[in-house]
Parts: sequence; structure tokens; C-alpha cells
Amino acid sequence: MHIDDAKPGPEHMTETTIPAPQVLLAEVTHRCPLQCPYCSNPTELIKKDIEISTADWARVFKEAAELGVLQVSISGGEPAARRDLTELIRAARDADLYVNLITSGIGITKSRLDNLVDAGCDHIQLSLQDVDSDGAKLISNLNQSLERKLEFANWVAEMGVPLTINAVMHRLNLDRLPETIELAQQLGARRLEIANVQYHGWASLNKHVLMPTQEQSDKTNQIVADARVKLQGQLLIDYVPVDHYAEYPKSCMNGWGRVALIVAPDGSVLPCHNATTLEHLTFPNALDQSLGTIWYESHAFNIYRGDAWMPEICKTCDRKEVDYGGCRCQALAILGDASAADPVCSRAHPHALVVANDHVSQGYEVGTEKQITYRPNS
Amino acid sequence: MSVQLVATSAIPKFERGVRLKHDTVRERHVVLGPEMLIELNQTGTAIMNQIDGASTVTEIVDRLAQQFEVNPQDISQDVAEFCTSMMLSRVLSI
Repeated sequence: MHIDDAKPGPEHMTETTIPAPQVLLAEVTHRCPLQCPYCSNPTELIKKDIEISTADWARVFKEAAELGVLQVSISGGEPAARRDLTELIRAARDADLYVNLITSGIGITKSRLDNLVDAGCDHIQLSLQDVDSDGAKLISNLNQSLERKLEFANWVAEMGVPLTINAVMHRLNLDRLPETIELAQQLGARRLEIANVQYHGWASLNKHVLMPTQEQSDKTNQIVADARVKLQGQLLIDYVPVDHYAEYPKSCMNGWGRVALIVAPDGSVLPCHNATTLEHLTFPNALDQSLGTIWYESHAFNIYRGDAWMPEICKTCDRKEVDYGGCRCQALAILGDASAADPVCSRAHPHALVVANDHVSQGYEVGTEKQITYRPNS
Repeated sequence: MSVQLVATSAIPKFERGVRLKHDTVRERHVVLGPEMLIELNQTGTAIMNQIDGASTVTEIVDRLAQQFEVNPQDISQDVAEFCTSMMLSRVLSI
């Protein structure tokens, strides 16, 4: 890889250099035994028959490492749906990447977990739908999903591998946040991600059921702040607040094409999980071009770098190096313009999200599952 | 918030799943951990290179003092503060 050769002046950059990527999200499959209605996979799932091979992934990992990537998160779908997961992990470690496995824990037996750890899995992030068994069933649409996850978490603890609990929060489970924090401690987790649902893709289809109330959101901020103080040095807490109740946009992906790249199951390379909703863009494929060429030269990665694409209000804003204009997918989905300021921004759009929040449902009741659009298993 | 500094008699060691890496693309040293990347400066790198799971904070301070030709008492506070912050990030434990 010749990084220095791959730095032509990108069409929309005002900075002189493009930083090398640090993080690769490897979505090795979209297949999953769970059907969570907020899944971050696109609504058009990629089928098994066009998933790229073990050897292709090994090359992607090697190219990524040469490019400057230090961490890979092997994710899905459920990555364990691929029979070659052990080989994928080994290939990533052979490329000298730090390997995070992002899993539901479903479909991994204890002996398989042993193999994954022996192959070089550095860290396991386990998703948690709810501390309540019925709540977990409602979201995952899979019986006994909570119980199976707890068993898995105990195996991880026995093996001494660092564990992160990724608790995805929404209207139906936010009131159990204190119990969620307690469970993470009981399971011996080193990290807890308290991640409010991001309302894109599948989640935007289920916003009427999942969007928390303003009151829940405020209370959550306080619970997280208190827990961080109380558990300092024991449990590291990452927090993703409810974007729609924020004053300013999230720094989506830490800026378009700045830190991370995503390789989808078919080898297409994306600047964010949901980028395929930006239908005016064509995304290159790692089977056709090197990751370096894609990162530094492709139109899809360059289009929202720097500030040339920004509306005037962002260009002159003191926060443009903080949130990089926010989320392009959300700008398109809510405002119909992918180059608009993020609709969350209270400076650019004082009223953009008021209407969206009118659709908040009145809560969890019998028959809630009938109001949910589940993602299919494949 | 006041944080108690690590004792000089403590033996810091790396937590499982944490390692040092020389990032050759950016010419820097980093700590890699669970979805964690910490960039080390020269001092941080020198301290981390002394963490062997057997030496006490005092012994680490003495070796660094020798290496950089300074008095141990001039750097002991910095080393203790650095180790403490790494413990709060679950990079080191005692």
C-alpha cells in the first residue's frame, strides 16, 4: 500500500491532508437469529449468496492495517452466522489488528467460544435487549434470548476475556436502566455502552414504539452521570443520548470519512452503516479496488469531507469541527436534503424535529408486538 | 472529584485485552484495549515500557530516573498520576 501516492487533492476537501482511518467495522453477514426492530443493518439486507469469502476478508484486514487501521470490530448481523468466524478472527489478528467481536451471543457454544478466543479475539461486546425476559423476547422476537445471553456472558467471564455489555435503550426499557447497570456489574463487564436507539433504517420504521419521552431522556442523563461517578475505575460507561432531544447533532461517525470505514457483507465500502440510504451515491467495492484508493480517492468518501459541501450556517459555525455537520442520512430522511444541516441542530432548524416527536407512542401495552416491524433473520 | 493515587508499593500490570502498539503509519505509540485507543506521548511510552507485572511503582520510578538522568523524587508524582489515570481507564490494574 502506498499511502503517500494515494493522496491526490480530493474534490471537496479544504484540509490539506485526509487522516488515515483508525477503525474498520467488518459487517461479515447480515444474517441474524434476532429480529430487533432497531437493527443498524440497512432495510435492504444483503443475502448470504453474495457475502465475500474468507480469503477476501483476510485481504481486507491486511489492507486496512497497512492503511493505518488499528481496531476492527467484527460485526453483523450475527457474525457467528458465518461458519468461518474463527478463521476471520485469526486473519484479523494475523494482520495485527485489535479484534473486537460484536455479537448477540446466540449460536455460539462454549467450545466454539474457546476457539474464537484461541484464534485471537481480544474483546467481546455482547448486545443486551432488556434485563426483563419478556422485554427481551418482545425486542429480539426470540424465546429465551435473555437467558441464553446470560449463559454466554458467564462463559466469557470464566475465560477472563474483557466484556462489554451493549445495552440498546428505548421507550420500552429505559425505565429499567438502573437494573441494566447492575446486571453489567454482576456479569463482570469492564465496559457498558448505554446506547439509545438511533432512528435510522429499521428504527425509523418503529419510531412510534421506540422513541422515549423527553422525561425518560432527561432522567437517563442523570442516572448515567451518577453511575459514572459511582463506578469510576470499575465499569467504563459509554453513553449515546437520545439524539432527537439534543440541542446539537451527534458527531456522526466522528465525521464522514475521518476515522472509520465499514465493509458490508458483499464487500462494498461505506462511510457509515446507513450510507446506502443516500441513493445519489455509488459505493465502491473492496473486491474491485484497494481500500486505500477507496478511502483517499472515491467520490463517496470525499463528498462530505471538509466543509465545502456544508450550508453557510454550518460553514461559519464554531461547532463544525465538533460535529462535522452531523448525520447526512438523517438530513436526507427528515429534510429531504443530504447536504442540509442535521435536523437535530437547534441553530439551523429550531423546529425540524417537533413534528417528528408528535408520533411518540403512549407506551408498552398488550399487543405492542403487533405495532412492531421486525427485521427478518436474513 | 478527588482520586486516590496508586500506592508506591503497588505492582501495576496490564489488564487482559490491553496491549501496546507502535503505530508505524502515524509514528506514535498507542494503547489498544476494548474499543479503546489511547495515544501515548514520549513520557507515557517510557512508563508503559516499564510495566512488567513484577515491578513496584517505586522500582519503575527508579529505573526511569536512571534512564532520563533525573532525581526520582522529581518524577514520582507524574508516574503515580499516570498509572492512576491508566487504572481509571482499566488499562492497568494492581
